[in-house]
Amino acid sequence: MMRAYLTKIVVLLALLSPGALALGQQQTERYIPLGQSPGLSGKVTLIGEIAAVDAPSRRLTVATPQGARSVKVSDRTSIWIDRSLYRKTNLTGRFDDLKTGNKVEVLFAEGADRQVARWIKMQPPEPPGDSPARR
Amino acid sequence: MPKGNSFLRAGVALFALISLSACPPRPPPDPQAVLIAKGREIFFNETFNGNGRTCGTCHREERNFTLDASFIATLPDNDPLFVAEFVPALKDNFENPRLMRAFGLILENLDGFDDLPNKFVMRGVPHVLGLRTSVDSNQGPRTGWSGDGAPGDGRLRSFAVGAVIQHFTRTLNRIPGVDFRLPTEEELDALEAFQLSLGRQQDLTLPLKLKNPVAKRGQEIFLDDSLGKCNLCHVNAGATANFGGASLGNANFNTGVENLPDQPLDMIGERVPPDDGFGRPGDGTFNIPPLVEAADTGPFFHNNAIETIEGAVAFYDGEAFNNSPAGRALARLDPEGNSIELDGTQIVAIAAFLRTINALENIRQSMALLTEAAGLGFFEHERAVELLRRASKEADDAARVLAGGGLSPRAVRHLDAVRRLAYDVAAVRFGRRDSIRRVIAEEEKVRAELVEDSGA
Repeated sequence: MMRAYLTKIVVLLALLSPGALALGQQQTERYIPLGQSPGLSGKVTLIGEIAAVDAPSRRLTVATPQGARSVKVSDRTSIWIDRSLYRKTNLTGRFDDLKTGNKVEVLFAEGADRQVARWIKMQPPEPPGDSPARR
Repeated sequence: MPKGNSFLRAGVALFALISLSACPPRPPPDPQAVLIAKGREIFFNETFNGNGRTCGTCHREERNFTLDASFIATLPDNDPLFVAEFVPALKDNFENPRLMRAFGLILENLDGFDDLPNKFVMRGVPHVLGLRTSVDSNQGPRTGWSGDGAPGDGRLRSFAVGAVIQHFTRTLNRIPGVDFRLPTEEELDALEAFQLSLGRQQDLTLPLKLKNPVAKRGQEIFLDDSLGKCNLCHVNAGATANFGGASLGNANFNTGVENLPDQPLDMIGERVPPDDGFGRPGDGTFNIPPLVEAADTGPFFHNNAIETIEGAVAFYDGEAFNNSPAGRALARLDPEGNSIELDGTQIVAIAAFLRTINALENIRQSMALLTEAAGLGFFEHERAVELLRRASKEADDAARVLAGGGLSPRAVRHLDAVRRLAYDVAAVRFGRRDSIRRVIAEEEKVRAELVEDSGA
């Protein structure tokens, strides 16, 4: 009985901590160019072009060669503006930065939130100006 | 030209021809060995067009793939470890040179890069030995001190990508293709293969038949789930937790290290934000490290808070651990409500056990290196010398670890002989195999001093 109790406690300690399933370190992900995330790009992420933005519901429609897919953007979704193509530093973005026609890569959350983006990398069609407030 | 000379040269040429023709044809190279060798080359020499650092800048092979202040003190000022001291673009918010030199601590921006002066943590360099046994958990791979060290899919293979971005950059802009280049898929494969090849490939099976009575008692306490309780989170002195038959793999726990009083870095007046561990925001948990390799890879814990293995064991008898979530969980299961209660002699006994299994692992590695060197041909002298150098270094580590705990003086004496013999053999080209066999025989004597069954 003691062992069973012990098992429960430790499993709870290990599993119920916030973000326990978020194994990949997100901080350096910001600097990894769109399409180059190791073990994710080309395997589990969605790469396509923003076909529509629904600001009130904070949803995107992303067009891919396989068809369109709806993406929910939550308060916890990290958004990064990938400017590495223009040899500029990548920035932290906001929902407002997600514009129709921009190329994006989306990593979805796991479990019940499978429509919610965990992170979105957005590649602007041309180099935007620096915005220190968002760095 | 004198006739004698011509005869001599012809004789040498004939001997060389006969020797060569007598050599069996070499088998084709093992693809995995080739991949590991490539990974080794990348690990120690590839800068990824960055600031000059390599993986080996911090994970020093001569320090068991970690880093400590006493070793740092031996490095020249232009070592790439110190780029923050001589590259103007990295002067601020890239490292804290004072804490690096004093405590071997490295700066990490684990909670983001948007507020560099205020959002950072200072961590020690974890060794990369025994990774084959210490990465997998029930929730996926765990890398680095808090288990979330790798970007992308979080696997060990992806780890180098994050490391290059964090530690190799030329400027804090961190622009791929400008400040560094990211590793290719092939390089990630090779780096992973190399790292997985280091150290133990499997866990021990405890108990061992230890001869030293203090180490033997330490092993008993370690394995006693009602006394030392160590084996609950370090099964077989490894990096996996097992509770009531439920294996959690390489789990994370909040053991309260951050709450230790009188930490060295608090005493020198540097402002360091608390380290919240896994995730963002962190949940205060850190990853279980393997213990077999602990005794020669200090300082200990994610912030290098404790210098000695005895001190690291004693941590679990203190208030910081006993008041931590992990400590309280243990206390709830104890009939007397205690988490871990040990006396000084018991703490030293557990440390003696850890020192002994560390030394046994050093000897295992040393013997493997010697055996590999013995299998090399006449024309592979340089490779043999390299292997002998590493074998000698492992023996040296074993001697230091045992002597540091006042353990097994006879084993230490044999280890001195091993070091001396291995050094001598490195200078030998003819009869190398027989000489190496003598070194291995000496190492067998060391094992026999430490464990009853030398095959254990």
